[in-house]
Amino acid sequence: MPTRLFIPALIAVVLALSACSNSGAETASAAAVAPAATRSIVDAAGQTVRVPARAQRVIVLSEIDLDAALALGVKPVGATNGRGQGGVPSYLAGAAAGVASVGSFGQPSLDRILALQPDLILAGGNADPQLLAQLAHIAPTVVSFKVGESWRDSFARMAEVLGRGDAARTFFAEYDAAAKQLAVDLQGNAGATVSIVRWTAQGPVYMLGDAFAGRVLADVGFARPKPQQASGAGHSSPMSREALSQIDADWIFLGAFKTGTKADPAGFARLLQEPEFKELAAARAGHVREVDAALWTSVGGPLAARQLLVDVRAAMLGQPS
Amino acid sequence: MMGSRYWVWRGAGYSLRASRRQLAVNFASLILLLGLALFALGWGDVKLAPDRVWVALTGDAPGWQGFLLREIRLPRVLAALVVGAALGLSGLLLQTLARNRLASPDMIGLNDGATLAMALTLLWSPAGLLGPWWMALCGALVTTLVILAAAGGMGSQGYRVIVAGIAIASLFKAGFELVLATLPVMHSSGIYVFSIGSLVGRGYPVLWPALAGLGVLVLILLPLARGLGMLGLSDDMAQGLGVGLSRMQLAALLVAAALAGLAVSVAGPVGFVAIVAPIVARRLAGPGCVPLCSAASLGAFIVLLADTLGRSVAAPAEVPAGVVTGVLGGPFLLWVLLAGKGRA
Amino acid sequence: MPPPRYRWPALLAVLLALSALSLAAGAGRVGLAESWAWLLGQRDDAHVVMVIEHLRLPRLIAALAVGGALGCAGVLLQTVTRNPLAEPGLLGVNSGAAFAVALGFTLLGTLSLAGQMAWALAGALVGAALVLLLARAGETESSPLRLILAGIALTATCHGLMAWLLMSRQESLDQFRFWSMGSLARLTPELLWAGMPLLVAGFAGCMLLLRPLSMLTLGDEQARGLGARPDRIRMLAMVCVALLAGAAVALVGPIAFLGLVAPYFARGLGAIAVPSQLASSALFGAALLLAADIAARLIVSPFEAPASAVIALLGAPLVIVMVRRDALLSLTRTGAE
Repeated sequence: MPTRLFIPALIAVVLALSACSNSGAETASAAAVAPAATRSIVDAAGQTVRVPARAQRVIVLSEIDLDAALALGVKPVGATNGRGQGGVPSYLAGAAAGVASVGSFGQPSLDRILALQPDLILAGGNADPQLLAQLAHIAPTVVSFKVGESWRDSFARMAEVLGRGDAARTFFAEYDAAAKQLAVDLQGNAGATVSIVRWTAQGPVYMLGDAFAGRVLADVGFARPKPQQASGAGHSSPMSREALSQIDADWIFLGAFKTGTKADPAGFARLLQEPEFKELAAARAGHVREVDAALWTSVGGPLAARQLLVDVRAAMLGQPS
Repeated sequence: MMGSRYWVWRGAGYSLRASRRQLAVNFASLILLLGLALFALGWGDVKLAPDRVWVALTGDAPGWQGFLLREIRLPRVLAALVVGAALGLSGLLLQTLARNRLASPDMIGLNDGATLAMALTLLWSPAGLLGPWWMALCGALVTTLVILAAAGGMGSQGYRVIVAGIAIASLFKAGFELVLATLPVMHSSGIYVFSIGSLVGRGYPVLWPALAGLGVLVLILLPLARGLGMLGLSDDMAQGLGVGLSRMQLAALLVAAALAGLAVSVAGPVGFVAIVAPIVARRLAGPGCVPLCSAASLGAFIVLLADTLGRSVAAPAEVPAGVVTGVLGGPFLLWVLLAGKGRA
Repeated sequence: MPPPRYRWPALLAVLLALSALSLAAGAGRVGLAESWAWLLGQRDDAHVVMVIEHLRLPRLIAALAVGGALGCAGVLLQTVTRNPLAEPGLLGVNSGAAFAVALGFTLLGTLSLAGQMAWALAGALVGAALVLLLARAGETESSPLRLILAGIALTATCHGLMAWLLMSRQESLDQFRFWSMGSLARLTPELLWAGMPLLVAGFAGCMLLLRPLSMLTLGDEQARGLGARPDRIRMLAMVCVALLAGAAVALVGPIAFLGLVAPYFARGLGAIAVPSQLASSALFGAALLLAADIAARLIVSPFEAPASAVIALLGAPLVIVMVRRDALLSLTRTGAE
C-alpha cells in the first residue's frame, strides 16, 4: 500500500518545491510594480504596513472602506458588494457608479483583484487572517477599523493611509457644522431621546451605545434610552415583545433591510398595527420612522453619517436639507 | 490469496502487495486528479490556456498572470487537494473503524466543534480577526474526546459514537448560534463564511503546515490501516457493543479526528466529502481492502472540483466549496442510501 | 414514580400548572398578581390585557399545540420506521419544511401566512416521503442509524441550499438563524390561526390511524391477516407527520429532539400500546415545549433565548444516556419482534 501513496506524495512535494522556488522571485517583482514613494502606517490590527504615498488604484473590501474612500475623493477601482447584496449599498450607488465589483463581502475574487492591479487594498471587517495574508501578497493591505471603533477614528486612519488628511479635515469641519446647524434648527427637539432598533426575523433588537448611528445622534445632542446606552458596538439579543417599553423614546428609527426590488412596505405597516407596538409613546406620537438598515444599523462611515443627519432632518423637521 | 491478481514487492524486510485492480483504479484517479488540477489552475475569472499554465508554472510567464498562478491559484489548488485527501482518509478510517459506511467526521460533529472553537476566537480579537488556523484543529480534537467520554465505547457499527456525536453536534451547534447572536453583524459575517466552508484566499502560510500535518498523519495511519483492514475481516468488532476501545481503535479514531480537524482548519467544514469519497473508493476498489490511496485522491478530486465550480459559476462572486459539496453531496448520499443493497 | 393510576392525573396537573405559569411569567411588568386578576375577570389595565391576550395566550396555545404535534409525530415516525431514534428533527422533515419556506420567500419575495403553511407542508411532505422510501429500501437492514444519517444528510443539504439562497440577501444572517433555530417569541395570533387547520388535520389523522397503527405493530403479516394494508397505513401516517411537523416548523421554526424525548418519557410512564403512547407523548411534548418556552423567556429576560436550544440542552444529554444504556438497541429489538 505505501507504494501507492508514495506517488501522490512525490507529486505533491515536486509541485510544492517548484512553487516554493518561485515565490521569492515573484514577490520582488510585485513590489517593483508599487510606486517608489511609500510611507509606513500602523493599521487597525496593529500591523505596520508600507503604503504608497498617495495611492491611485485602491480596492475596498467593505462598505465603510468604500464610504470613506468616496468621502475623501478617491474613487476605488474595485469594491465588494455590500454584505448579502448584488451591488454596493444603495446610499452609495450614485457616488460609486462605475466601480468594478470584486465579488461578495468576505469572499472576494482574488483573480479579479489581481487583474485590477491595485496599489492599495482596504480590507476592513475581513475576519480571515489567511485571506488577509494573500491580499497583502498582491498589494499593501490595511485592516481599516477595529470592532466598536468610532467612525471618526476609522475615517481619520483611512485618510492617513490614503494620504488625504486635508480632505478629511474639510469633511469633519463640514459635518460638524451640519450637525450643529441641525441641532439649532431642531430647537426643542435637540435633547430628545432617540431609539435605534432593527426588526429582525427573531424579534426586535436595539443598537448598543457605541454603535455608529448612536454616535452620530450624540453629535446632534440626542440622548438614547437607558438600555441603549450600554457599551458595545453591536446590537442586543432579540427582545421579548412584552418588554417593548424598553425601546420606547421620543423618536424611534427602525432599520429594515430592503431586499432589492422586493421591498416589503406592508411589513412596516403591519408592524405599526401590532397592539404591543401601538402602546409605545413614540408610536402614539407618530414618531416612528423606517430607515435604511444598511445606513443606520451597519458599521456606517462618513457619507453615511452625513446622510443620517439628512434623514433626521427629514423625519423631525419634515424637510430635506 | 497471492495469485496473479496481485503485485508483490519485497525488500529491506518489508513486503508489499497490491491488487491489479487497485493499481489500475489508483492510476486512473491520479491521472484524473492531475488533469483537473491543471484545468483548475487555468480556469477562473481570468482564463489561461494549458500551455500558458505550464509556462507560468515553470516561471517564465510575464507580469501578474504568472503571479496569479503561482501565488494565488497554485496554493489554493494544493490546499483543496490537501483538504480533500485529509477528508477522504478521515472518512475511510472512521468507516473502517465503525464498520459502518455512513460514519464520517461531519456526521459526528467534529465540524461543529471546530466551528465553535473558531467562533470563540472572534470574541477575544479587538480587530475582529479569526484566531490562528490550528484553533479549529484543537476544536475538532476536543470534540472527539468529549464524544468518546460521552459514548463510553464504539458500540456495534460505531453506533454509540455516532449517536453520541450527533447529540454533541447539536449542543455545539446551539452554542455556535448563541455566540453568533452576540457578535456585531459585520464580524459575524467572517465566521459565517467560515462555517460554510470555503477556500478563498488560502495561501502557502497555511498550506505548508497542513501538508506537513497530512504527511505525519499518513505515516501514523499506514500501520494502523493494515491492522484495521484485518479487523474489518474478523468478527471481533461486532462484539464491540459496550466494550471499551482497544488502543489501536483509539489511535485510529484520534488520527481520523486530526485529519478531519486539519481539513476544517484550512477550509472550514466542507461537508459530505468524508462520507462520499470512501464509499466510492470502496466500490471501485472492490471488497476486502482498505483503499487509502483512492479515498484520498477521490476526496481531493471532489474538493477541487467543488472549489473550481464554486469560483466559476457566479464569478466574480465566489460560491463557497462547502455549499457546492452540500448541494451535490446530499442528493448523492440519499441516492446511495436508496440504491444500497442493505449493506450497512 | 407515582403508581400507575395516578400517572395520568399527575401529568395533566403538571401541564395545567405550566400553563398557568406561562400566562403569569414574562419579561414585562405583568406578573403573577396581574395575571391572577385577569383570570378573575378584571380587564381594566389595557397593557395587562394586551400582554396576556395578544402575546402570552397565543404563545401558550402554540406551545401546547406544537409540542403535542411533535410528540405525536415522533410516535408516528417511530412506529412506522420501527426506529426509536426516529423523530422529525433528526430525520430531516423539519429542515425540509424550513428550507421550503425560505425558498418560497426567496422566489416570491413575500409570502402570505397561508402561503407559508403551504410551502412548509410541501417541504415536510418531501422529507417524509424520503423517510418512507429509505425505510422501505432498508427493510432488510437492522441498523437504526441509516435513517438518522440520511436525515442528517438531508438537513445538511437543506442547510447548504439555504445558505446559497440567502447569500444574496442582506438580512441573510438573520434569516438563516431564524430558519435554523426554533422560537416562540415571534408568534402572532394570525400566524397561529393560519397553522391551526394543518394541526387539526394532523391530530384528526392520528385519531383515525389509532387502530391501523396498532395492527402495524404486530408485524405486516399479522396486520394483513386482520385485513389491514400496511403500506397504505404507513403512507397515511407519514402524511400526518408532514402535516404536524410542517405546521410546527411554520409556526415556531425547527425544533429537534422533542419528537424523540416525548415518546421516550411516555414509554417510561408505561405507555406501550399505540393509543396511549400517542396520547401521553402528546402531553409530554406539550409540557416540555411549554417549560422550554418559559425558560427561554426567563433566563435572559428581557431578551429571548431560542426554545430549540433549551430543548437541545435537555435532549442531547438524554440521547447520550439512552445510548450508554443501549436502551435504543433493545427497543429496536422489541420493536422488530
